Amino acid sequence: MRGFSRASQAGAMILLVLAVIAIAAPWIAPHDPLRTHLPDALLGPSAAYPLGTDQLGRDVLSRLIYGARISLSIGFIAVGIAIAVGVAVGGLAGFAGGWADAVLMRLVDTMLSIPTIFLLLAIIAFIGPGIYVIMAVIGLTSWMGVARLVRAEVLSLKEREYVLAARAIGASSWRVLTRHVLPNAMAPVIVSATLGVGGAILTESVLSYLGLGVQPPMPSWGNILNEGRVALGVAWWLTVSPGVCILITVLAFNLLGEGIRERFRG
Amino acid sequence: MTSLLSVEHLSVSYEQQGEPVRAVDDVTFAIEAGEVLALVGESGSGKSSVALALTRLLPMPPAVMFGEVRFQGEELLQAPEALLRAIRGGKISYVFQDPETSLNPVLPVGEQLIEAIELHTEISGASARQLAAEWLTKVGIASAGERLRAYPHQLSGGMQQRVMLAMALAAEPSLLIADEPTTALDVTVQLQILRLLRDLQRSLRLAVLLISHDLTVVERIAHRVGVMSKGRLVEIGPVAQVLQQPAHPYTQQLLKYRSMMTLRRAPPGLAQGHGEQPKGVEP
Repeated sequence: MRGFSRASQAGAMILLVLAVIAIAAPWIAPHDPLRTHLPDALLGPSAAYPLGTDQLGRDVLSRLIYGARISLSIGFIAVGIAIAVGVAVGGLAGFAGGWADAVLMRLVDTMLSIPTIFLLLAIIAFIGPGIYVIMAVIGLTSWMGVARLVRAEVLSLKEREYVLAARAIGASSWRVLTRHVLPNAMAPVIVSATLGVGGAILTESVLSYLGLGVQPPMPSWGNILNEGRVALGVAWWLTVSPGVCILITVLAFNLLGEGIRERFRG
Repeated sequence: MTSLLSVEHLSVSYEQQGEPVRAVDDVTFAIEAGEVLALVGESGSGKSSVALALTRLLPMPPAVMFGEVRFQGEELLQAPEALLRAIRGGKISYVFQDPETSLNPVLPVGEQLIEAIELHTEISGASARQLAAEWLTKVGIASAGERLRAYPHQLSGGMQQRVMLAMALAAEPSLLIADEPTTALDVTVQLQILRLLRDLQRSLRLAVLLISHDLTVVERIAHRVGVMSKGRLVEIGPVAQVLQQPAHPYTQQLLKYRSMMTLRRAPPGLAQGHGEQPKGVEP
């Protein structure tokens, strides 16, 4: 971790802990996140239920722990899709140049000109909510920044001597692009991916909060927040705890992303 | 007998703000198998453009090329890209000026050397690695097995240029194009690399097109020399003849400047005497 700021180290630690929690969910969750137990509805934090219960008597802590699985996997997979599409489009546009570049970049401009949240709502209204739909849709609406980044990098990298040297040993354009150009463009992509995971988790929360994301009874931080909204007056723990989870996670990703950016800048 | 490489009336121009700029103007020369031909001239005289044009490595727009380049009986300027890819690195290889920027910084040098081998031979996997290590040894790098795993920044400039030479020669090409191969190196390292280049050239019977602005380098290893000025090949002939009895005014001037530079260092009177009278220019 040499060269990383304290803040970004803290971010990395938090994410490590979260990842462990998400992976170990079945073993560390005190209760079944889906089991309803109406007599225990809307209990405040106690020894049996550290973060209280919801309207159906489900343990909030267990739901948050399982929700971390859903939220984090949506974050990672959505960003994975965004990176794949962004690197492909940006790499192709920058490397090919000419009309291919013009067409692809106008596509990026068009996508950027549509407010993401409305686009998301419209698409999900059409095909219906679902965890895989959410991953795909978030990924497919957030690749444009990556594409622009990669294109800019590729434009400067393809003039490098080692690209000429690679062509001079007989490498094909495809090989030059995938082996010699793109790997050198990865630094800003890694930064953007790290920041992007936080953003994707936030978007998932927004969608789930609006009822268009992960569907009950499956817990995600966004829909726990949504379900707690109606009981805000009597059970604050239902909204505060998922809210804090989202806050900490997004913050941790941002700290780590900034730290990596600083590090690459040298 | 036909030459290994023959260049006929080669012209290269670039479009610059709608105006064509002629970088290479009607250049004709040939290289025989196993021969070292040097191209000299000041920067901007078009010698690097010639080197890159031979296997069409110039970016095709904006560059436009005319003329004919024949290599082992095949015309290269009109050849399909696939044929050129097989020739580049396989039969005609390049070594560039600055080894530090010519190696991919994120790949270990071994990977890059193995890539060159795998692109042009049937050898792959462990035997390619073995061959790569052998080539590193041949270019004078000790403990080659370890060096294969080194990243370019972990090697000195001289070592990097040795790796570039190994990459260029690994597929056993018949022509090596060395574009200012020693310019970016320290003076002591320059000599080592030149000696290595000369030894390899002799042992592999390699034809070399050496691009340089340094006449000392040219004298040391070239058989023939061509002088370029403003895109034109103004004079070409055996090194001794061109450097002792230059026929073209530009060459004479080039040599005059050079002797002025040497005289400043050597005591007067010790400068080499010149020959009798200029002979005709070889076409």
